[in-house]
Amino acid sequence: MTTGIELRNLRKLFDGHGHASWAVDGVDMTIGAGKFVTLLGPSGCGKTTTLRMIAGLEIPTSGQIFRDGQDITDQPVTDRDMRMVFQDFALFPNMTIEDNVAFGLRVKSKRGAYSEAQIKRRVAEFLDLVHLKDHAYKKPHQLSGGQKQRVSLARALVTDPKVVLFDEPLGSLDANLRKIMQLELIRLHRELGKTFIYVTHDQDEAMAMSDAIAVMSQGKVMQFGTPREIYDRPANRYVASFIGHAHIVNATLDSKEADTVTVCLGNGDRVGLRGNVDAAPGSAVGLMLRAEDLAFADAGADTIGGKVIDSLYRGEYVEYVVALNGNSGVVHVHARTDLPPVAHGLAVALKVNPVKAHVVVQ
Amino acid sequence: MDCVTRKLHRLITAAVLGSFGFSSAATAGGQLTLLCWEGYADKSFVEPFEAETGCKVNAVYVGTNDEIVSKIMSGGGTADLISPSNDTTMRLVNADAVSPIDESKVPNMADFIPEFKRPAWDVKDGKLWGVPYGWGVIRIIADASVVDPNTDSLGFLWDSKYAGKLSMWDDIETVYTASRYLGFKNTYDLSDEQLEQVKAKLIAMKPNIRKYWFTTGEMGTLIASGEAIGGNSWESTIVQLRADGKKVADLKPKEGRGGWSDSWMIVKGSESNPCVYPWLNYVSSAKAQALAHKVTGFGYPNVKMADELDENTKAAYTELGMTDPATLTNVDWWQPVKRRAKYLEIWNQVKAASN
Amino acid sequence: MTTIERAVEPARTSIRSARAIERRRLLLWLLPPMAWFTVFMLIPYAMLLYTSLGHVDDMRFIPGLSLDNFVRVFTVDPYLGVIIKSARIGLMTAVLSSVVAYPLAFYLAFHVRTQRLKFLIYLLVIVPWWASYLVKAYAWKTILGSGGILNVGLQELGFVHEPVRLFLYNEFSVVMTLTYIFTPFAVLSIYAQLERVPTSLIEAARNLGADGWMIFRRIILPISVPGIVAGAIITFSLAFGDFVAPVLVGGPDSVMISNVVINLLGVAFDWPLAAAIGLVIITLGLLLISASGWLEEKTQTRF
Repeated sequence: MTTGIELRNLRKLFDGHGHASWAVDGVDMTIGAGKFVTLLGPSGCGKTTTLRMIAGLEIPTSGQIFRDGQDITDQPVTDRDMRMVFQDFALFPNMTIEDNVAFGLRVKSKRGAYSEAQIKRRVAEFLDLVHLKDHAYKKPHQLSGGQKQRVSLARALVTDPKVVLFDEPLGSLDANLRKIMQLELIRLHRELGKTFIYVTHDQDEAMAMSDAIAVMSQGKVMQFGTPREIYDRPANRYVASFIGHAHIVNATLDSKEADTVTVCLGNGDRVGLRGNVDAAPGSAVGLMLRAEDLAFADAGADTIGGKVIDSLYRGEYVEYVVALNGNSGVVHVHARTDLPPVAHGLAVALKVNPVKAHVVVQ
Repeated sequence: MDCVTRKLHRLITAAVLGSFGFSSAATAGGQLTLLCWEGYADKSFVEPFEAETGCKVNAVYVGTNDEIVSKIMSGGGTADLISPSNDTTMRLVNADAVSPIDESKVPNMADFIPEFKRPAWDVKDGKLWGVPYGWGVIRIIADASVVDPNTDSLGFLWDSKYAGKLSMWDDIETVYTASRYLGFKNTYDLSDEQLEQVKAKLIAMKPNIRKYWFTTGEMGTLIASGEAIGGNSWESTIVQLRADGKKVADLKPKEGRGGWSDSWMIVKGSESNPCVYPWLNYVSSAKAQALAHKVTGFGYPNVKMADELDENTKAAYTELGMTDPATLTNVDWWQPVKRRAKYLEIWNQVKAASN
Repeated sequence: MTTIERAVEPARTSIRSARAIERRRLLLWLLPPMAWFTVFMLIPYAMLLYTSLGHVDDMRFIPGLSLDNFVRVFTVDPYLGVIIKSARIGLMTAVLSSVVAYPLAFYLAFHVRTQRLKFLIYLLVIVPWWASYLVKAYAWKTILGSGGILNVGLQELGFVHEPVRLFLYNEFSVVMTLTYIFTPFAVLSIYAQLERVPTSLIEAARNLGADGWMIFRRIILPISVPGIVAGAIITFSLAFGDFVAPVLVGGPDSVMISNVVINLLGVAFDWPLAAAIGLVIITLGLLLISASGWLEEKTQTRF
């Protein structure tokens, strides 16, 4: 039984132009073997630095990195047996595709691991795996971006590492290609059963591919959980607002029971929800409301009142912007396109999906 | 002007100006245009002349004798006076490019050392064609503590005792030197056979050569630093070394020494310029030549010139025998070399030959 | 003619006149470079060719259509020999410059982290160019001479008891001096190429387990070949055509082709032969540049 990668209070100080700052500030995380884990966050949140510390390309200022229970914090990058896929592909421009993929094997073969014939066979096998066997003798500059990324992938996988690291690997590809490559990565992860640690700022990508996501901000992990946990039960306002275009409305915790919670909005509207919250009644909380969890309804209990101030036709649905009564906030509502349009300025009542709406404390 | 600047200047002028020619807007009549070496129209003696005569002097400096010849021959110049060397003067006379000198209009020539009153390189058909000016003897010099100062033959240059210890001028004068040692009387008109012998002799000297020097200052440094102990050079090297306290012998080889002498010549047609003769007489005066010596360090033909010098300069000048007619005996004065390209080719072959 | 075609017609005309204006504008843009090319390239080369085909008789240039001067360059001692010697000195300078320049360029490209230090080193490489060539060449005399720093040092340390005369006034000192003077070109040329190597390439190689030597040999060196070639061509050309170093620090046989040409111009007044040598060198130079251009293209890594 392996435990995968474990990070313990990992920190990294960056010295930029006179003032030092913590790029990574106390990251604790356990990444199970064979999992697809994504570090998600905006640029500068410390996700790439964390990944590079795992790879051994950056030396942690403090903290420890374990693999399978073994402290590898001081192990040189060349010995870590983790392969990285870079955002700019980092293919060796002077070598053919075949030589690029073979590079890691030839390094190993210096230690007598593979014969040249074995290398040839294995490279061909992995080029086939990424659908590039016809391009073996081309140079990197002759390939498209997507093809280059696949070479980069084959080069990483061919040495059969236990862990593969991805640093925004699809960042430079166009949207369609990115979707195709996402599916490709999911397939490879499933087929090869390796640990994938993936860095991205694209939450859709993170949601679609990962077993678990670590949402990072300012060098810290804000929440580490499955995509569903992150999306449906964000641990705090930051995660809630970062993921899935949620709107946070200020509210007060009215009462709570075993598995239901009632919050009171600034305008006096009261909403009952499923779930639990770690706060005492009367304390200020945030009510997370996503467009898909709201619907127009007749005014009554468990609805919130507001006024339509804008609408956007999205094709699939119409998105209304509603200003809640009493300046409590603004939310977006999705409505079916076959319903009659709602005029701007009209007072409306919104029904909240009690299962999906969520209360955040911090 | 010392040899350093002259040599470099020649080089640069030759390389840069080339045959593009020069043009000067100067016209005769209160104006005088000189085509001469740098230092031959220094303001220290030009300004008194201008003040005295009212003639405005324009000087165009040249780097090589060839430049003078090509400019005068092509007729593109408006020069009144030129200052070619003794290997060039007769070519200009023969080409009918210059006018004879009326000696009566240059009374200061009476004070010249007899050898410079009517030198061979300025006389044809009984007429004088140039007024001698700066001159010098190519000295054979040696560190007096290494070479016997009484050495009276060029033969020591080939003595294997001095392997890697000599430095000779990077110039065809060194070709002449070898020719003199071989006893050829026609130094400036050698046959192919003789040139081959000269070449062989010069290649035989190469093991003794530390470096072919390029400027007289360089030769001085080579001797002073002990890199070289002897060779050929100009007077200025001896003056420089002696001033630095180095005992340097000025050898008098029986085979003879090379000699150069520049002359002011009147470009044909300019003899009517009223400023020409005043200039010729002025630069022949002891006073003007003393001022010129201060600039160039060269010898000048006026015997009384030395008396106008300061004490130290005069002592150095007389020690070199520049005032003594005896110095001028056994000088093999430069002459036009018809096949100079061939001489140079021989010289380049010598230099390119590996040691 | 249909209505549509008629409607299209005026548009075509305006496109045509727009093109004419474009052409005229292009001509205007091309005029200065063409004038430059004519005045500074075409005419001088034509003059050179014209001169090389004539001969000189008693200091006068006689035009002609003879190839004698070219024949002389190849058959009469010492011209071809001196060209070959110059090429040898140029080659040694190019090789030595590359060897000296590479580590510096490498250090500059990969190990200098701060921009300020990078700029400082860059400046230190360039600054000697603000000093006169002559001063730098003279400096080598004072280093290599019998009483020079090197000899004094060796004697002080007791390695030798007499000054070593082999340091100065020979081909070695010429190559040393030329190498010193022209190495900055090699540094800049190699550095320019090395700087194109993204850090991620090195990180990727390390990530794949490669050690420093392997990264250098398999990735950095192959990518830097065009920079080495370009630097070598520059240093070779500059050293080949040099005439100062042989005069200042060369020995009795360190005559280079430019010295010969200068002598032919200034002393022998043999401009036609000098022009012929010039043309031979230019032709060799063109061949060399074509060959190196091909080599650079061939070895250039496309990113």
